[in-house]
Amino acid sequence: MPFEHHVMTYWTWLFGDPLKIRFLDASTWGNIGFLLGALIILFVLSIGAPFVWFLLAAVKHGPSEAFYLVARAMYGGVTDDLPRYSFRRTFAVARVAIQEAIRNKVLIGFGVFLLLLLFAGLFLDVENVNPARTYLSIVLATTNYLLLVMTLFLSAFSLPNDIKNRTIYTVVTKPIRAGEIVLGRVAGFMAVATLMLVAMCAISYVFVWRGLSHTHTISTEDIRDSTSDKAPPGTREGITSTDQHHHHTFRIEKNGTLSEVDQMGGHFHRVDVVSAGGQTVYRVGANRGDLIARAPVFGSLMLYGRDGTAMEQGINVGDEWMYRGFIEGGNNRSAAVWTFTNVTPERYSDPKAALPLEMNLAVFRTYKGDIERGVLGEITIRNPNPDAKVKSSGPIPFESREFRAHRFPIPRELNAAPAADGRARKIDLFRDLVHEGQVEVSIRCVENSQYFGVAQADVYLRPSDSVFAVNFAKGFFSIWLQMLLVTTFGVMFSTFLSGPVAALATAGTLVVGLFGGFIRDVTTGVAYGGGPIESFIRMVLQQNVMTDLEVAGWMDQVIKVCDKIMMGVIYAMTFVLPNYLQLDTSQFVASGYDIYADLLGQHVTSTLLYFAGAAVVGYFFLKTREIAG
Amino acid sequence: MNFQNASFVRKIGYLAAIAVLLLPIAYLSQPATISRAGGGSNVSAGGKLAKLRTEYNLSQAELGEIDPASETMKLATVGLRGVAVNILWTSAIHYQKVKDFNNLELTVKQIIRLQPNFLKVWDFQAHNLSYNTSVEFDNYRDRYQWVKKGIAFLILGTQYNRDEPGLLNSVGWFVGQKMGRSDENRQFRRLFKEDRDLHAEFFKHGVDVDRATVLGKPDSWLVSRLWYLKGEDAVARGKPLRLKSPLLYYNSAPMALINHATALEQDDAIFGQTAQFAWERADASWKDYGRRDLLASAGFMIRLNSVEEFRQKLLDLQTEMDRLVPGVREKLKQERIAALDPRLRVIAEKDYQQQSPMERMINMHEVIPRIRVSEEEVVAQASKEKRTAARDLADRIASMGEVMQTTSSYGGIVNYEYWKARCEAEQLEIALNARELVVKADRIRRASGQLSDARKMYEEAWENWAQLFEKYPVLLDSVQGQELVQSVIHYRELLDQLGEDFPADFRLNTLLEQVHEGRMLLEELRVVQGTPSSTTPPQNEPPKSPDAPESNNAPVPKDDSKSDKNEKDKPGTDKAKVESTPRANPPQSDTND
Repeated sequence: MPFEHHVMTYWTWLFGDPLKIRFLDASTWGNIGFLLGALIILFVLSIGAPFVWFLLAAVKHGPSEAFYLVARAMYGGVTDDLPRYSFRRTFAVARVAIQEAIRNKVLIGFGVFLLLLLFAGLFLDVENVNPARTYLSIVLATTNYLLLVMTLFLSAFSLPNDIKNRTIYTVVTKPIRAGEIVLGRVAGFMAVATLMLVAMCAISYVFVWRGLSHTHTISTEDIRDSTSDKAPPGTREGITSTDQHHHHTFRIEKNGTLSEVDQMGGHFHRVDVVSAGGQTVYRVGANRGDLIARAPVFGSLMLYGRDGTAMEQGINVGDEWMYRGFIEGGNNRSAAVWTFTNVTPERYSDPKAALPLEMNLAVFRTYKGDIERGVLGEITIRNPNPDAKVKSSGPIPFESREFRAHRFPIPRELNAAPAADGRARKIDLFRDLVHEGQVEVSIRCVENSQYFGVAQADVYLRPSDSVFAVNFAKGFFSIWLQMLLVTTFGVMFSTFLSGPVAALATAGTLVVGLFGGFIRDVTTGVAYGGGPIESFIRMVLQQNVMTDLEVAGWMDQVIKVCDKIMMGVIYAMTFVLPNYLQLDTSQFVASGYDIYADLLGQHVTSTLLYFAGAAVVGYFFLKTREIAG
Repeated sequence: MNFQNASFVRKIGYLAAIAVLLLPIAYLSQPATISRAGGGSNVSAGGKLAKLRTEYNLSQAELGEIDPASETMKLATVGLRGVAVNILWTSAIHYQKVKDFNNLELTVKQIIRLQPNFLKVWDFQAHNLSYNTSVEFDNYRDRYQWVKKGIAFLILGTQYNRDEPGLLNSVGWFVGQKMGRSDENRQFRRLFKEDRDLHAEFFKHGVDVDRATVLGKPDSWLVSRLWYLKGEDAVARGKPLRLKSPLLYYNSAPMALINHATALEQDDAIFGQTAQFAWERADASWKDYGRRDLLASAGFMIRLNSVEEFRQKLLDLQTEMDRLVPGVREKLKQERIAALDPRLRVIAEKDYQQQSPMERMINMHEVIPRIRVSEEEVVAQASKEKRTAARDLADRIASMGEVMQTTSSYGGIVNYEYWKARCEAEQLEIALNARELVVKADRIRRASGQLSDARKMYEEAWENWAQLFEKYPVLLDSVQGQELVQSVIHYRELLDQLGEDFPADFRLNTLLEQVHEGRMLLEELRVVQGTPSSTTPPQNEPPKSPDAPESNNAPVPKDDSKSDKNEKDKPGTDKAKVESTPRANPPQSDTND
């Protein structure tokens, strides 16, 4: 799984790297960190929103009355409503919201989910090479979209319906505050949605587990002498029965041992060889290795060119996708060097795998070479301390394996780099090469004119895996965070808009949040297309986006100016509104990677901030709304 | 009328309007039904739409299997199928860009559920999987898996679009050409032989690979032929060829046999009777192809093996014309020769055999067009009483000329004469021996074995080849000829190792002069041995005799998606060019559904 965004720690994400920011260079603005960015946006909104509010109120009440209204509302919010906020009243509102949600038959959503799972077999590509990924993606995506749509309608229509039916009077006539109504509603809807989410999580887990669970049988008729040139004499090979649309091959050594069958469909099976009645019987165990949660420890990456100078990016070999940079092979100083921290004997205690390295390198050949094997490379473990007595280990050769996690454990005892006297000697990884917990792993391609493609997340340490079930739950927790945002925005919009409009507005935030990247690309001209008016005209007239808009010249100018203004607003909104796509962690779960704590922390922090912002806005709208009128 | 009555009347009015509106809908959309009540069966053709669907074979059951998932998805998009398809295509392109091939495959399968009868989608995405995606992988085993995915995808297409000749032909093409012609062809063919899963999949869809084996193992070229034949059967049962040219469509199966025979010797190093049998089969199949009636774009049927027959008929008709209007043609010709520039006149008066290559070139391009006498000119000189008969004869000559020219041109497209000669030549003992000797000698040289043995084998092989080229000079200009030059270069290296000079009177000098690498080798030898450089120009294609009709200007059948196919099967075409060509502009509109 590619990590398109740089893998960063929570604190780096939060505080960024302000020293790298140059005011006039927009490309450096990404270093400001989430906190500073959020503070800037909040500051602008806290000034801009009351001002807009004042302008709108001034139209109706005149400037002095409007100023008084805005000031009173804000002052009252801080001095009156906030100190007297009651959790008891909030819970009471939440309880009513739960009852209302159940009355509105939201549990139908749960029924739809069950129905979809029942018929999933029709749509699932069960013959896929990685069925676990398919199963996990489908359950996570189904749950995600179903619950987001459900919470959207639930939250957007509730308050307007209460106002329309005047049932809200039974609440607002009580000593209850606007903030309590907003938070109570959010809490109530979220309680129902959470219950459904938990149930869906449990059912999904069983569905995935049962869907993947299988075993095979081995018949002695399917075992024959190995025909491979590389197999030692006496070796036998065979094939298991075909179950779940696949089978495995295996090899039996001369001494009759067979430990496990080959990896197929992202999993393997253990095999017990037992004797029964004078005959050898092979018992194949359950599938393993498909439901995993790798917990990689990432390092920082530096690339060096053929003359040994550091490069910002690797060589581009013509890939449109710039995720990986390439390093040139051959007798030169090109290398990719990862620096890992916190490498201590306590954390990495296995002497055979002191550095449990796993690689996922890309390969680019400029000539065919020997296609019966991969491209050759070598790994060198280096000491980051330039004054160290032992600078590096000797080169450890390897053969590339593209598009698969290539486990390559580095033992604690290593060969030293060849000495001038040509004598070989051993070194200890932790004693000789780790400096203050840091160690460098240098990878280079040794074949002339062949290339290795690397990205930061392509080489990592994998000391141990996380528990899959926990990771699965984390994936559902990400859905919960998205639900919280949709619910909060739905309730916020419903405090001042009618039900359908509030639903449309919430859906708008969802669309901008899901397609923010595309919207930015269209706005900045990276992707083809036009603004809303141009797009509408093209759709009606069925005009291709690659041709000029076939309208009169002046009309074209007017459309483009209007579109620019609208696209500018939408562009700004992509930064202000939550990015739902970033909160989606389903690919982590499906691809077998642990949703690491730093990432989860980032998601929780940004969600809480949006939640707080939307709740405050909702509170002010409801507070100033003349419900009785 | 009180209020309640008004409401009642309005409701009745609504019901009546609904009933009236239902009538045209029922007329248009009533489904076709079969009722078996009372033991009999009453067939109702249904409404207008149902009748049209039956007439044009457009109902889903007629097109192929009904997939509930596909139907559900089509219905679930509630008229927004185009939008959904667009989103999926964009996603597929994105997944391909970011090398997420697993998701690419899943997305492609979703697309075809929404566009199951849009044939170009099947073709395009199968190519995407088998060609564009497979080459993204470094390991040839992974590549093979993706080639298989493309093939499986096409086979799925043949289920949704039953007996569709184009798709069946594409399966054959992928099995044959992708397995047998890619960079990894040896590895692919090896894996194919052992791939029991794929064999079982083929068997499930009516192709029994046990009918296409060599030494007990299925051969990819022979299996591809079975798919081609399946496609031909579909056409025979009345399925339309759509935009495919019959010339190229029916060429696939015999070419598969030729490719099989070639691969047997080159890739698998299988010679002797097995190879001979393979060439005999290829020969018979190619000649059958020559006897097949093919519809030309001009609207008449042609047979590729009839060029000589037509040429003779044409000559007979011209002779008849000369008898009817005696001496006119010759007289006009002599007048024109006399009017020629003296430089050209000398060439025109020379016998064809005595002309130098340069003179032959001038003769063809400058002299013949100036002195040619058309039939109309001959008819114009005929006496009044013979003019009607002469005009009739001229029409027959023109008509025969067009048929002959079209046949010859079509034959040129598929290199009919070359492959005919090749199939005949390759099954001869002398050719089989020549090939075997070269392969064995190459092997000994590579293994650094007995070099003198290798030398003997090479020299025996050159002798065989020389005899073969004398008998079949058309073989000189071919990929096989070029590959043979590589072995000659190896032979020269071997002589160097033995400390001997390359013979000046080398038996295959004619071949060397025809091929670029050969000419370079000869030039190198001349420099090393100090002999003057030859001025003999390469004789890639000897000009045709003055009497030979021009056959290169005939119309070429228009638009066939596999016109590049036969480029590849032509001698002298670089096979690497055909490998992995990404297709741009995916089809986006559904015209077939």
